[in-house]
Amino acid sequence: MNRCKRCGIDINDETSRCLFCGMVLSGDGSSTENIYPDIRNKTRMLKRTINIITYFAVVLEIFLIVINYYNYYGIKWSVITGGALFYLVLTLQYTVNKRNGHIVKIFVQMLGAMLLVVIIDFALGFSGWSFNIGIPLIILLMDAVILMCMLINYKNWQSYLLIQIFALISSIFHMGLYLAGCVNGPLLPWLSFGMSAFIFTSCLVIGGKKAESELKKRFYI
Amino acid sequence: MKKSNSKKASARQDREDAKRLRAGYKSTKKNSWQKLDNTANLFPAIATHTMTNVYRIAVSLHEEIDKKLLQRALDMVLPEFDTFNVHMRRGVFWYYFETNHKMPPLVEEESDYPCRYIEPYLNNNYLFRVTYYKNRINLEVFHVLADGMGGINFLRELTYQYLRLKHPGLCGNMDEGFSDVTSLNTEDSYLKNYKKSHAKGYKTARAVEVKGERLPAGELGVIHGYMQLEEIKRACKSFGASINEYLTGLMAFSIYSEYLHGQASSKPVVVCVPVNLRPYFDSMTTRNFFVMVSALFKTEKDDYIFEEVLAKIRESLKGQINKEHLEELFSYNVSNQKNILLRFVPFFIKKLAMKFVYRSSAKAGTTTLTNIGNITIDDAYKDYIKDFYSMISVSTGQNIKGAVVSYNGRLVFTFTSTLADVSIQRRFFSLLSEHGVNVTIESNGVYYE
Repeated sequence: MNRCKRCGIDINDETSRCLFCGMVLSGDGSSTENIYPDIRNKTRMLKRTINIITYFAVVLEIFLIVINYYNYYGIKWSVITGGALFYLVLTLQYTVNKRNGHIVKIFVQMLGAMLLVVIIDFALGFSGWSFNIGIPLIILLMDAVILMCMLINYKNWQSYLLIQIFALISSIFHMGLYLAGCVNGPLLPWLSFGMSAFIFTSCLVIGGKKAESELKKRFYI
Repeated sequence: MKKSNSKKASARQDREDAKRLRAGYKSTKKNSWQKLDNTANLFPAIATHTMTNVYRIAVSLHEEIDKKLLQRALDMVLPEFDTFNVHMRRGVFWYYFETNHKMPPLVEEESDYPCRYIEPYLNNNYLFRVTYYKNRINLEVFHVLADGMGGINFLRELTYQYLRLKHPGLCGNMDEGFSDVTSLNTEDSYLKNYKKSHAKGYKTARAVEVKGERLPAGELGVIHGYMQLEEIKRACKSFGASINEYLTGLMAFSIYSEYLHGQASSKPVVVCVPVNLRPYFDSMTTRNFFVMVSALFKTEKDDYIFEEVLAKIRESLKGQINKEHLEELFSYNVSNQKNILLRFVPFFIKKLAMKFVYRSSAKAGTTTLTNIGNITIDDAYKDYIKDFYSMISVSTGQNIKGAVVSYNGRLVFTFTSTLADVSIQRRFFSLLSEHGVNVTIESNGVYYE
């Protein structure tokens, strides 16, 4: 056992100096083995990689904005690259990083994709194609992904009810825009709304008590 | 290269072994869901990688841990503990727990700093982890599940089961049964015992914040101080204080003399002390059931001596640790939870509000000192168990914290800190030594070059 005369305490670590005051320890020099593993050099590769990519994405975007500014011929293409880089970082943060469940990943990916198409449309002069075609196609894609996930994870199909509601609300919003004459139709608004509503209602009817219980849990106040 | 390949092969072999060994695992047939308790509602909103809200309770044995047997013990014990056998799911208005039917988390050798963040979507969605190192079993728990008493309850049964597997015939025919002092109660004791209240119980005035050079990001410094309970009791008696009051007083005095250099400050030194509510409300719940009281020391002049600080801390604690005040403290929170208007607010908005409220009130504490108390063990297992440890993660405004646990006449005080400076810890243990308590310390090595 080693002792620090200055602090008046015994020290069990594998060391010859006091942890607190740095004085040389007195005693027989014997110590027990460290009771914790030595993990100081363990690196967090994934976190570091994501941070580096995020940093370079920001630097690259600043560089592209400067080029776009001095070579502007009517198209704000740096907005598109900015949106794409933002989407890339979002994907890395939410998808590669295993911090979130796959349903949250689907939700973030779809929301990010909707935002990206609107940004691109805006950068190209806002002709409205993002709302006419882009968003309903993303809603349809989301419906397809949900169906696929439900088939694979069939024992836990009810977990997807909440994201189905998100798809349904998005499609209702899009339908509202169509009925108000803000977007073209009728094929895509009806198709995305019809598909989302069909998946959700059939889950409610076929799922019966399981679906009811899931909604009760998800919406308990 | 060769070394890394052999490591990978050994890890693969381990996984295959574990799979084979656990092929017969049967998850519970229960399929229930439960609301988070009042305190637990806060944790998913505020937990991050830097403020993990994870605590660790560990037990060291007199023998090295056998990984496979520990895994088997966990597989056997977990399905019976409804508090731990859950995963957390997101509702529109609140999070909730649901029975987890996945395999129990894999027992791993300790390879990271204590109290690291528990990712709700890894670890088979379990909100706790079990690791081991040499002769120590570590249980790390996300506070959303249970408080220290709930954690001890689970760790004790896990250890008993492990020892029964390791030493067949240890308890006669009792192969899988639980001890008769183990609780499996999962009631929400906050809801059961709350009374309508309007008074805001928690203080939000700012306290002294211990700042300084930090350890590298992600590192947590741990220092254990071992001492004999009898010596501590003798020291407490000489100051006319209980163990809790004495250690809290020591903590406040160490911060005052080392961080404030024994000078007056406009902000008080506040030691937050979690109080176990079970004895006051006759509860046996394994979930959270505690409140925080604040031991306040107003540094109105220079050069206080320890006795003066202890008297102030004692007075502050005595005024708060009584059933009526404790009831007021949690009733205020529960009445917020039951407010019909607040309940209808979607969780992502509640989360922002909770974060804001937490951040403003978190700075009202300088540090936290938690005392798990004395752990009792059935006689049959006593010869195998050496020590218990407890430690808590740091949080906003509180870069250094303490945790106490005692077992078999020995008390272990553990400091956790993200600060490079150890002068507060040094003053704390030196004072103990001056008061006639022999202290032996052990660290996790981060303070050495």
